[in-house]
Amino acid sequence: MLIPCPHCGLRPSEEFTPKGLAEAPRPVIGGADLPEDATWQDYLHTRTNRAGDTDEYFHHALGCRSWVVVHRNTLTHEVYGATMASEFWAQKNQQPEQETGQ
Amino acid sequence: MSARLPQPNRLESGGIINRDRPVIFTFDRRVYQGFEGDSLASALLANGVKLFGRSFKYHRPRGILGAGPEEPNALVEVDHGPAERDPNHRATMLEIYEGLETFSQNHFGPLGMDVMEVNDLISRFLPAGFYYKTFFFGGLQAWYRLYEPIIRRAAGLGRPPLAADPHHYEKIYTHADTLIVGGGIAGLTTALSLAKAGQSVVVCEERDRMGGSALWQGETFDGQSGADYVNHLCAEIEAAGGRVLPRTTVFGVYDAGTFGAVERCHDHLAKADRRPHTARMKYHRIQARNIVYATGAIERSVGFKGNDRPGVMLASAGHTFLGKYGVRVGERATVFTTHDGGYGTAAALAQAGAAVTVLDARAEANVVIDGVTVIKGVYAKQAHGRMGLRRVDYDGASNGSLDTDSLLVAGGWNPAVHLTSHTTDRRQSKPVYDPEMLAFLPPELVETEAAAGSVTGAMSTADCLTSAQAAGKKLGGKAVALPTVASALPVSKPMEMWAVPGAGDAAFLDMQNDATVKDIKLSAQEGFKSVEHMKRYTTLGMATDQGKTANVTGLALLAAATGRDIAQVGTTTFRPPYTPIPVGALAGHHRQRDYEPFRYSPIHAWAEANGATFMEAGLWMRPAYYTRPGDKTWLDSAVRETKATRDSLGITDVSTLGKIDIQGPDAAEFLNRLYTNGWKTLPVGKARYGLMLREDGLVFDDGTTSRLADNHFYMTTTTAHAAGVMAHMEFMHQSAWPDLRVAFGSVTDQWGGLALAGPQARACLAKLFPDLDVTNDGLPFMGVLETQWNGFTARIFRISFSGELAYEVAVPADVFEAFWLEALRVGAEWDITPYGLEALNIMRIEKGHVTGAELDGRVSMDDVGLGKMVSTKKDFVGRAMSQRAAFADPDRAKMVGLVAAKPDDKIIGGGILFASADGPFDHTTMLGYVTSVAQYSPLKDRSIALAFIKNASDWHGKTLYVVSHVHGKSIMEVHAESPHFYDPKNEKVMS
Ligand SMILES: [Zn+2]
Repeated sequence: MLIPCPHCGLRPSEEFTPKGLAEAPRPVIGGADLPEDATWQDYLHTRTNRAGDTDEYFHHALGCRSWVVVHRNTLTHEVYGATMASEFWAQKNQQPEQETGQ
Repeated sequence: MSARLPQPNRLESGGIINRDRPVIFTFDRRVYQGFEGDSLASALLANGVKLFGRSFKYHRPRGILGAGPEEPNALVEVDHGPAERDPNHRATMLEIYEGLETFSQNHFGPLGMDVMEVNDLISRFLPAGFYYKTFFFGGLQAWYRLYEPIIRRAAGLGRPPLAADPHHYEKIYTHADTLIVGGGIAGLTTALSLAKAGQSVVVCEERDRMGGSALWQGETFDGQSGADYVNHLCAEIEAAGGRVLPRTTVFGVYDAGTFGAVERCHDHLAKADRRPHTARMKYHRIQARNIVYATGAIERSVGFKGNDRPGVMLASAGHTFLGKYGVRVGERATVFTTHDGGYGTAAALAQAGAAVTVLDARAEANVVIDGVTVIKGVYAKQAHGRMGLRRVDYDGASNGSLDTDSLLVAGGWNPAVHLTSHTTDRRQSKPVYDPEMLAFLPPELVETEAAAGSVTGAMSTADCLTSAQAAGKKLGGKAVALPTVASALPVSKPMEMWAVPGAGDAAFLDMQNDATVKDIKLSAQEGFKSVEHMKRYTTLGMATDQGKTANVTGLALLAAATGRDIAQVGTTTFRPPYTPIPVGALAGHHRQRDYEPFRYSPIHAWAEANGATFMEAGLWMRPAYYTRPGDKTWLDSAVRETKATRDSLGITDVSTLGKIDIQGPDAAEFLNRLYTNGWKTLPVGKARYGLMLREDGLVFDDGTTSRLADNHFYMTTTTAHAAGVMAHMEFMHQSAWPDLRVAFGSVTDQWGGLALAGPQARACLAKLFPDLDVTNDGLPFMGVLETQWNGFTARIFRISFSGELAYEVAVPADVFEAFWLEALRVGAEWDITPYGLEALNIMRIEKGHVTGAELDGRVSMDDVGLGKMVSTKKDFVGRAMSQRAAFADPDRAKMVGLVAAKPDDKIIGGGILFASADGPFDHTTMLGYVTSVAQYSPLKDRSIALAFIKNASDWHGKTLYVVSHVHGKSIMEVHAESPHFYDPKNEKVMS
């Protein structure tokens, strides 16, 4: 698998460490702060584990040290692209909510 | 050069072997002679050897079936001593060299008289699924006593080497615009077309040289011999910047244009010719935009009784031995064919002087060859000759018997589509069955893929060349002029005959696993009708050859037995590797000492020269203890170091701690969010102990962070978690708080650090820094000073892990050794004593300080007695989850200290705690467990430990029992108390 790091370009996946699905942003400070809160439960434990298009955190640990969100398809292994984690949630919030058909 | 010995089956001319270079080698200790360019198979066949090994299950005598990588039978061991014993070489792929020693495999006793051959005699009692069925009888006892020992002895192919592999392997990245798999005439032509268009190309050919069938089919290209034309093509490709790699097997196709290939660099060379320190094999990780499958086709046999007898082989194999190696496999040859292609082999053998009869399965066949007898409409019914073929019976339109010494079977061709199915996930399609061609062809290829040559189903050389031109065009190549091919090889589509009428047992499909026509029928009969089930039930296609000659026939027979089309049955999924590859090739240099890098402190050389014994801490090598005269054991050393530190002055290397430099206007806010406690009020020139949680509320790491300036902090982490903490900080900053104006980087390698500990630590520090005020007022507990030492920055932190008055001093790593030596010189006055991790461990356990043994990813802040370190005024990683009700459960195990009741008892790490010495010692009565042990504490004059136990404080002052189930269930009495054995009021560190 090759990952297009927005900073370094196309690099082999061995340079990256995966973390998991990027499905929700970390709950904001001063907002949800109790363990019973569904926002926290979802953030920590709920994963759709969808077969198909996914967004996943990868750390370019043996490269520029950026955390990136890789957009790929787990069925076809096609990698569509990657976004800096630092820009990912801001970009996502700007986009109108799309029908995901879940 | 040695004298020429007779080779009865070698022709005086022909082939591309070098008759001027005889080569001496052995097989089963007998000495033979072949020629440079021979494979072991061709050389032994030239010498009249027919028997190469025994089959896996029935131990039937076996010869050679193929002439290339598909060979299922002739597996041999190369043996040059215990470390270089290498099993399962295909004799057809093993190139001979001077001094090569080989052995046949899989027999008990001499190859000619194998006692396990009894399996063959009782083979009708050993059908497919035999093992699954039989071992139900007699129960477990019978399994252990009877079945398993027998199976263990009989199982496996060949013997493994007995010592570590002495060879050298390399991994390399190979980049190309296009990878061409297969260096036959089609692959080379495609490569030339692409190279001429400016593409960088790599052609990988798994055999010893480029050329494929052009090397043996006897055709000419623009009047040149096949071998000459191939050389010409290779030269042109290389002139255009391309690379050709013989002996290189592309074993796997992976995502995004990644391919795995292994190049065999040494195995064909005599030992004297192997350059030292060069690789036996190279593992190429190939990155290429496009791929061309020019993988050729593998001939298949036909199922009939005795089709595994030594002397029965594929027609293409017999033809290859003749054309490439100048070896005539028989004098009285029989060709059994289902298509016109068999006649080419018959003609070649007849021309080489053999008496040839063709058994043609087709009633109307019309190829005529001078001097060759043709019997039409018949099939080989049974082959006779246990140790070598003697006779073949035929049946059909007529019947009869032929005396013969070789039977060459032309059952049709299976395109080598394996690699095209490695990326089935991406393509969402599998190889497709073509009922016209009676073969599986590559699926529809995507725009970055092309296929060329016989893998496409092309049968004649001219068609193969045309397909190569098309493949080149598809991938952007230039048109190349195709040569005029002069060919006398007839081709036609085959007649459908997977097994002859009435074939059953002893009609072999998978020679390596001894799967027969009967087994397939049995599989269908017993309900294993899916091709995947059939494969596992019969083991067809499951051995080292992965059924290259057998799979398609097997599923064709399964289709017939279940009344389905072959297309409906489909294929099993081919997965990498295409052929077996040594694990050593994949490991490369990552083995033994070089498996992972080592990290050394700047004073490693000093420590080594001064009696240190090292222990691994992650990648670091850290001194565990320093042996001095009089120390009998490591414990003697550790206790001596502990006492010296507690009584006067100790020094230890803390360079391995993780160090992270944090700067920016929001640095304090960043720390506030990472640690449980507050950081905004920390004054410049002060350090603070910090605790990090994971987002799920469990303890992650701890360490000390100092404020060097308003916007500048210096963090330390545990040695073990340094990398993890760094990645965690980067994740939080980038994914959750990108707005924070903070930057940070690891400076672990930039700074060396030492700790001075003990009552004389201040005096020593004052001598090292005479101009500095290091009094309790000038540098109080948790104070930080930045100063100079000989013109270099030095940072002094008054922090303590040992529980003594202590200072940690960091200087740039490149002057650290000098600084360390200076500290030793200055400290000599107080008998300064270097101490290692073992002494540090004793001291921190006495002090009740936690390390990774306690912070094991299951404990909360409260569990380790740090629950008060929470600022409730802010958010931080893990805050929400740390408030989970379960963490407040009084039944949660918390930290406690243990002291052995008897002076000589050593508490056992990992031991389980119980309230009673009477048992039972199980989960119903278990109260807790031991995490860290000091085998001897000078403070308590006996063994002490840290442990976790339910209702911890209730146990203070009470007796418990430690039981270790992995140490003979010894029961040891201990007394529980506060884990802070030493100086619980912190008077020493504050003094
Ligand atoms: Zn990067």
